[in-house]
Parts: sequence; structure tokens; C-alpha cells
Amino acid sequence: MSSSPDSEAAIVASDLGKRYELFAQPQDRLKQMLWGRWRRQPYFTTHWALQDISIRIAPGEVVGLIGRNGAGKSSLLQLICGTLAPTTGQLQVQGRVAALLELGAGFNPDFTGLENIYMNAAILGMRREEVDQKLESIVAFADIGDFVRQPVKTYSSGMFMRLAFSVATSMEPDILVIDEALSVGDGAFARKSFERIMQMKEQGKTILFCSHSMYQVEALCSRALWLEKGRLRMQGSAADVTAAYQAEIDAPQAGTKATAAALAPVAPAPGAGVGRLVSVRAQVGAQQGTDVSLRSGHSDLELHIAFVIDPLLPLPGLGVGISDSHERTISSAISQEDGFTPSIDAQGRGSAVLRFSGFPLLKGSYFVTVILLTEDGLHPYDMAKHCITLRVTQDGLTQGVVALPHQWNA
Amino acid sequence: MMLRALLPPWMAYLWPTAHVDLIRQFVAREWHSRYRQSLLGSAWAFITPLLTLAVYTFVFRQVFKLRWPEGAQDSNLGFALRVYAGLALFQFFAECVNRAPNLVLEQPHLVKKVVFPLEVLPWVSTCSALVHLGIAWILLVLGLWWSGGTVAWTVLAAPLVWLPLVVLVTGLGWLLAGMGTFWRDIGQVLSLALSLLMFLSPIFFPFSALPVAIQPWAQWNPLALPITMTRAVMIDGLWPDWTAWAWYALACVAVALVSARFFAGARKGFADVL
Repeated sequence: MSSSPDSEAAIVASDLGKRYELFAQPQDRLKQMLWGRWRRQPYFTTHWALQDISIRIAPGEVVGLIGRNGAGKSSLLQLICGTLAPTTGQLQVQGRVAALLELGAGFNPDFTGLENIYMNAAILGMRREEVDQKLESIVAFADIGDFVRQPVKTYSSGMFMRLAFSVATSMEPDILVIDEALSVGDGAFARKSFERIMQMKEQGKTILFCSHSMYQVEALCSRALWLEKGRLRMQGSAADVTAAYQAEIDAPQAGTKATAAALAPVAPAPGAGVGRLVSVRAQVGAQQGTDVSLRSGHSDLELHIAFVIDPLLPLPGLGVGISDSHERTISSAISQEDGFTPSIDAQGRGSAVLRFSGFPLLKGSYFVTVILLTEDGLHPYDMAKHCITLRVTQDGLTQGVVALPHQWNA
Repeated sequence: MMLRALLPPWMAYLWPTAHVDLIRQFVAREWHSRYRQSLLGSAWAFITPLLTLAVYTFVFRQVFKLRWPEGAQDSNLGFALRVYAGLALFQFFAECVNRAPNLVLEQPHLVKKVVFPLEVLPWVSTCSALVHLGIAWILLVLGLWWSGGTVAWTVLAAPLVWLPLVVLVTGLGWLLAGMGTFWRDIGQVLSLALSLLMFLSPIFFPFSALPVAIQPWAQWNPLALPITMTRAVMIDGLWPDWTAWAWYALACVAVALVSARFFAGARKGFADVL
């Protein structure tokens, strides 16, 4: 142990900057490289993808990275992985870094799973003996049975992702860098990979997690960094940063118009480890369907949700969000939080009814989004975005979004 | 080890001891992907050169009625072996050089997604081609033995004769892979240049058959010396001219060093263009 605090940090960046040089023609880049330094006028225009980034991440910290597209998240992750070189500033990364930037990118479809394991592991910098040792656990996690001796092109996409993820996380990294790798793959894989990441978190690995899902960032991370236009806009506790970020994206933007999308009927035949929403229907008195009218404070709204899930999985949870036409979430309900667990039959079919009595939102159009969640509420199996449109009218002149319970006293 | 720490890192490109395992796996993968799922499998590595040889012998001996100018052996097989000694070397050179501009282009994930020693890619293509050159050596020795001649001890010097060419070809790999990533036209120009080089190299004739006025220029052809020497050690049982060899080797190492330096600089820009 060294006395200097920064020698103990997993990642230290000071005044880190990454400048991209934009060239009109590819050959200009070569000219610049060869004799550009002796010319007064460079061949390129510049774009700073990252500027003045100073962060310190201690070992064992789980840090979320959020920001809009193009904010520089991927550039920062690539810098930390070492695939990009910083233009300015210092970056110290201590320990072995595993990057889940693009799973299975180096797989050769004509080769068997086993051959690809060795090849991919070698590309990731693992020695052959190391792979020999871990082979059993890699294959076990991927859970692809005898397919491991078949060419990868015969795999389903789920098997492919599992194998790639298994190899990438098997190198026992000190630092794990995840770039939305979890948003792909089927429900079972997403669950499993999430579990492995939680495991690594418990083992005290440093994790840098980049996601557009504020929900996941809040659930997984202790701290979050918010990048905007290449600069660090905010850092702090995950809850604070995600809330501030959410508030900013929720700010009304001209021109956004949400459209209600009815839920496409899905054949109720779930595969292994998969769950799907089958139907979502709203009922207000005698009205039924995906587009209903309500009277604020008077109508009772019932959402009838049907889903189907692999019966071998733990009982799932349900989440319902109500948002306005600016994509701002007004309110939500999560079954786990409310202590409700939907039940399923032997085929995995289940249903639930969520009831709002005397619907309290004021006049306007609202959209309902339903999510079928894993039992721990961390990962979605399926989501029906804006599957129901609510058209609320009101009697009086009250302004705002919601009528809060209140009373006047003399 | 101490020495390595003192040298600039790109010099180590020439001696990739740290990545032997990686190179071996890549070479094995290339071999398998070339022959997998073909009925005859690896046998093609032997069949293809034999068939090529048969075609060239037929065209040059039976159609063009060519004779080897020095007239040492005038049998069909003797002619074929002389051509093959040059052709195998040319094919080794051409295969590596032809692939070089695409080496990095074809593997964007190795540039952008992982931290990978990209400098091994030309070594992989060189070693893959070297396997085929090794097969050519075996076929030559078998052919010589079959044609009834004695196989001289000098055939063992062939790998040494080829060593500078191996360094040169890998060096050109860095140069062309670096340039090809930025300039995609390189591949087009190269295939033209290579077919020209095939007829300018002493493959179907000995170097001495070239007009005397041209010979000093033709010596700059990087294949002229190794092809002539290969014939000398494989067929004529002569040991190479070691002074000429040493100068040639020196030139090859120089080209490789310059190319390695170029590649080390160019690779910084790879992630931005791919």
C-alpha cells in the first residue's frame, strides 16, 4: 500500500481531453501524419469529444456514466480501455480492464465455440494456460451444452451472446467497462449477465457502467457521472445525478409528439428464460381498449395486463408508468414496491389488474407504458411503450398535472 | 530483456517473442478457415502447387517450347523444378504483399474494441504463407529425388536464404497495412504491380538470361537475389554467396525498421478511420 491516495485509485483522469481531427478526405489524414507538423495550416478541422475530464474512481466503486448520444461516453470508455489515446491530460488505469464494448465482435462463425473461446481469449490478452484452467467455467456459464463443439454460425443469437459474455468476463478483470452490452440479448441472458455483474460488484471489482436506462444506473451504481457535450456536467450519488439528468431530458421540448402504439399481439409461446407481455387493455366503466377517455377525479381506471413467461423462472414483477406528451414520467407503480406478486399458471400465463380510483391527473393526454420485470426488478423482460392513451377531461379550471388530495380549513 | 527496454517499442515489432502464442493461434485459424469444409482438406496445400506446376510446365514446355537457357537439365521435370523454385518464392511474396493493405482494414474490432498488438498481423500473414513455402520446399526435395538426381546438402541452406525475405515481407506488411488503412486504392495498384513483377522476376528464366544492359536495374528487384540463390542451393547444389546475402539481409532489415516505425505512427490514427 502506498501512502499517496491516487496510487490506490483504480482510475484517475486529470484534465483528460480527446480531440478528433476531422478530415475532408482520407488521404489528408496521411498527409497530416507525414508532414502536417511542419505546415502552418493543418489538413483538418477539430472536434473535441471530451474536455477537462477529471475523475477519480476508487477500487470497488461502481460508477454509472450517463449522458445523451454524442456526449462523449463511448470515447471516455475507449480511453479507459486503451483503444483510444488521449489528446490532452493524464489517465492512469490500474489493473486489468475487461471491456464489454461489443460482445463477440471477433468471433468467426465457421469455427466451433471452443475454438472461438481460445481465439477470443487470446485477443483479449489471456494466455493459453489461463484459458485451459477456466474453460470449464466459461462453458458452464455460457450454458450451450454440446453446441460448444459446433460452429458458431449454428448458434441462436442468445447462445452467441452468452458465450461471448462468458469469455469476456472470464478474464477476472480488476476493472469492468460495460457499454450498454446488457441491453441486447434475450431476457434470460440479460438476467444472467446482470447477475454476474452483481457478483463482480460483490467481489469488489471496479465497474464503469454506461447506460441510457436511469433505472439500471440507479439500481447498480453508487455514483454516477453525467457527461454533456464532452464535459463533465455533474458527478455525485447515482440517485442525485440520474434525477438531475432525468429532469433535464424531461424539460419540454418543442416538436416532440408522442404517439400511442397499440401492443402487437404476440403468440403466447415463451422460450426458455423469456417473458413477454401479451396484452394491455384499459377499462373505464363501459369503455375498453387502448384509447380511453376519463374524467379527472371521477373515473376509475383499470389496466388489465396479461403476460406469459417461462414457468421455470421466478415470478416476475410488473411496472407501469404514466407519462405525458413530453415524455415526462408523471407517476409509476412497481409491483415489487407495492408488495404484489402476480401469479402464473402451469403454462406460464399470468395476468394482473392495476386500478386507479378517481383518476387524479388533470386534463391532457397521457400514455401508459407497461414493463414486465425480473423478480428483483432490475431488468426488463419486455416493455410495451405507450401502449395505452388516456384522454383526461376535467370539470373545473384547476391548473397543473395532478390534483393532490387537499382540504381547505377556516 | 534489458536491451528491449532501451529500444523504442516499434523495434520490438521485428522480434515479437511476447506474442508467439497469439501468432500461432491466428496462423492455425487461417489454415483451418482456408481448408475447412473442403472435401480434401489440408491435402489442397499439396495439390494446388502440383497442379499449378503441371499447368506452367505444359504451357511453357509443350506450347511455347521453352528451354532453360543454361540447359542444365532438359527433362520436363527438371524444367518444372527450376520454375517452381522461383515460383514458390514469388507466390510467398505475392500472397503476403497482396493481403497486406487489408490486414488492419479487415479487423476493425481489433482496433476499436480491444487492446490488441496490431503489429502481429503482418507476422500472421507471413507465417501463414511460410507454411506454404515450407510445403514447396518438401515438394522440391521430393521432386529432385524423384527425378533421379542426388539431393545436395545445400537444400538445408534454403531457410537461411529465405530469412531476409521473410523480414522484408513482414516489413512491407507494416508499411502497406498502415497505408492501406488510409488509402484504399493501394490494393488495386498492388495487384497490378505484382503481376508485372511476376514477369520481371527470374521465374521462367535465369537472371543471366536478361539483357546485360538491364541486369544492374533488375538487381533492384527484391525477388531477383533470393530466387537465384534458391535455385543455386536447391537444384545446383551450390552454397550461397554469403556477402551478397549479408547485404541483401541488411537492406531487408532496414526496410522493415522504417516500416515498423511508420506503422507505429500510423496506428494511432487507425481507430479514427475505421
